[in-house]
Amino acid sequence: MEEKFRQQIKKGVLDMIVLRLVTEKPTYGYEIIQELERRGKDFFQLKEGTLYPVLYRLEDGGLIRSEWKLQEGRNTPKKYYTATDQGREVFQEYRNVWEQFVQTVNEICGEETE
Amino acid sequence: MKQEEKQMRQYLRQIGRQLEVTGTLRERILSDLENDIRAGLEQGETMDKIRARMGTPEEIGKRFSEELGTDRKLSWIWLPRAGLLMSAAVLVIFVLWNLLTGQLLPGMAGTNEDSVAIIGGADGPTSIYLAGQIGGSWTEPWNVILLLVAVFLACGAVCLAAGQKRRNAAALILAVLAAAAALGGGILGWLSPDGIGLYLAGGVQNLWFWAGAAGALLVALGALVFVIVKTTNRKK
Repeated sequence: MEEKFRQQIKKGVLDMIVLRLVTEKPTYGYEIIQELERRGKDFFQLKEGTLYPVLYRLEDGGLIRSEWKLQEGRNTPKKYYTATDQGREVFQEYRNVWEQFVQTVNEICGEETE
Repeated sequence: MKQEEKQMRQYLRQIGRQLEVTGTLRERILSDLENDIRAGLEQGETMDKIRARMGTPEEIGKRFSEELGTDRKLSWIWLPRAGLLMSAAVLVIFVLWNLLTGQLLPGMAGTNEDSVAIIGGADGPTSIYLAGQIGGSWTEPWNVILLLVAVFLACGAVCLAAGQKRRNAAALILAVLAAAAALGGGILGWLSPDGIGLYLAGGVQNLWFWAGAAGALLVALGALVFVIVKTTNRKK
């Protein structure tokens, strides 16, 4: 039961979290997965099949964009996702909503006063 | 590195087969996955480790389908595919049958002298048409329309079937049924050349012709839908 609950709330915040990581620095799929494993405790062990639909949604919505960058020591270019200005703005909006949401939920579900 | 490169290509190919998407989305996914695999290789991972981490191609394909919701979407690309399969099956039976029976149409041998005389010298489509006229019932407009509607609905049902494997199966069943109908009618006509056989043979000749035409119509329709969808998507 707890697992299902975790999945549900995770789904709700994934767009915001992935968007945050992309605003921090230009990055790519595998790096995002590694970051989330490192910083997300046990909550965000993502597979590619879960992450990429989120990235595509963000990209199609104009919040992030992708570009191929040629690097030294590599003969094939590497694809990086970066946040757009609109993306940074939208992230701030998401975060405001989130904070209000967390506060409200905590008030409803908070300590039982007896 | 060459060996890793080969294994990577093979892995990507296997994943590609499991993805239930087509076109630009498919290319997007595969190029992103390749990007990630290369990044892993650069960090010193082996292909074995990468495969263990990412999962089997089936697992990957399934998760993408779930998250993208592609499994439920209507696949219009099956309209031309189903139509093509049907007309191909019907055409093959038709050609084979004509080869086996020479110029004569099944059911005509020795029964109706006049029709044989007319038909014997005619080419394929004309002989079909004439046989239909003599056979009678199948050239009435409403019968033909009914047949075309049935064919269209059948192909629509194929499009609605959920999942790539089911659609493959449905299209195959459709083609087999079409071939069986064509073949069965022809055989019936041959077995009982008088009476009902005559009508059936004439009818089935028309069935072949019209099923083939319906198939061609579906291919054209499907191609039109495809082009429209693509151009409207590009405007996004």
